[in-house]
Amino acid sequence: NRSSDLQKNVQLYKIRNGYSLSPHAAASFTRQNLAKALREGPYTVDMLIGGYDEHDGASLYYLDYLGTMAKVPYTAHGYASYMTLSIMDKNYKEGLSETEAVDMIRMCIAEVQKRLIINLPKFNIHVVDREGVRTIDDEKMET
Amino acid sequence: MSALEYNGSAIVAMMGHECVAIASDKRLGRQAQTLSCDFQKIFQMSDRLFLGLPGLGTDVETVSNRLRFRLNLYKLRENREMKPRTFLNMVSSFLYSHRFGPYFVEPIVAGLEPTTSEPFIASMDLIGCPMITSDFVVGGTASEQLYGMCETLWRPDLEPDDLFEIIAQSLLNAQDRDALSGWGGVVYIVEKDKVTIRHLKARMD
Repeated sequence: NRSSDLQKNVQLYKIRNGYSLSPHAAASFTRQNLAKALREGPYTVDMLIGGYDEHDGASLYYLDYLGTMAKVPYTAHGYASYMTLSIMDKNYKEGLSETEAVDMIRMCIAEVQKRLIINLPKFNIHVVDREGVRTIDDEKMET
Repeated sequence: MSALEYNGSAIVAMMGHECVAIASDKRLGRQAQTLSCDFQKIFQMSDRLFLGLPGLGTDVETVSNRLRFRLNLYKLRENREMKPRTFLNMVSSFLYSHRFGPYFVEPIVAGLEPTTSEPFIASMDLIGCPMITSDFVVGGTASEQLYGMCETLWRPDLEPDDLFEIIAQSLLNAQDRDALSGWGGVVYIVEKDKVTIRHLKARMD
């Protein structure tokens, strides 16, 4: 219910003001809520917030349950991070095209499926760009 | 694991001849794992006033935002710049007001007096105990290492260019000996007519 509360607030901003919150503003707003909750009743949820803005282009923010926020080119949370951060360190470069980025994600997913003890057969890949959010439906991801 | 050592940081400020320098590393980590090498820990509060915040990442962000808010209100009400000493007291009382549920940051204040341009540096602990020095102040997980480096390299009345070299070397070598800090560095040299920001090339490990 936490994320729906935040989501509704972001939508309310658009209704009130006529334009969407920028990704940075949405991430900062979320961060402030997490930070406030930390000392009252913490939300034990980490997040990655990705968005597209005409002004700044695409941006990705790492948030954790403490309210730590960092703008990053690529990142991962949880067990995935142990396996995938190094893959992304090696393969990432500035100005990746969408196909290259999705291929990199596929590489990461393959690695997680190989190395993690828990079997995770299906993954969803979502792409966020100037047209909005869409899901990539893929047979390639199933093992 | 202490909250002050969760994210990792190394911050140092030094006094020079009619200038101050403040420098920090850029690592943000989750204990041993590095998440970002671009994390801002030094915030420009005013034209010639800087605040360095080593400690827990979330509190770095919260404290810098809250203090900037209070400083801006002061500027609007009083219609003048806040003196570094006054700012130090403001930070100190802000932190003490959370004495029994503190923000896990140990701030470093560095700046020049708005009218006389006299340099000023100070640091404090997480509950606001201030310490004003005339040579250097250090903070973060690499503070012990920084004390060693600064004690050896610093001397009084350094010109801005020399001060940059000295503070940069102090930071780089200290953070190399600390697992939780490093991954780059940034140095701000504050003189009465300009502020120079330089990013350091450091060992990325």
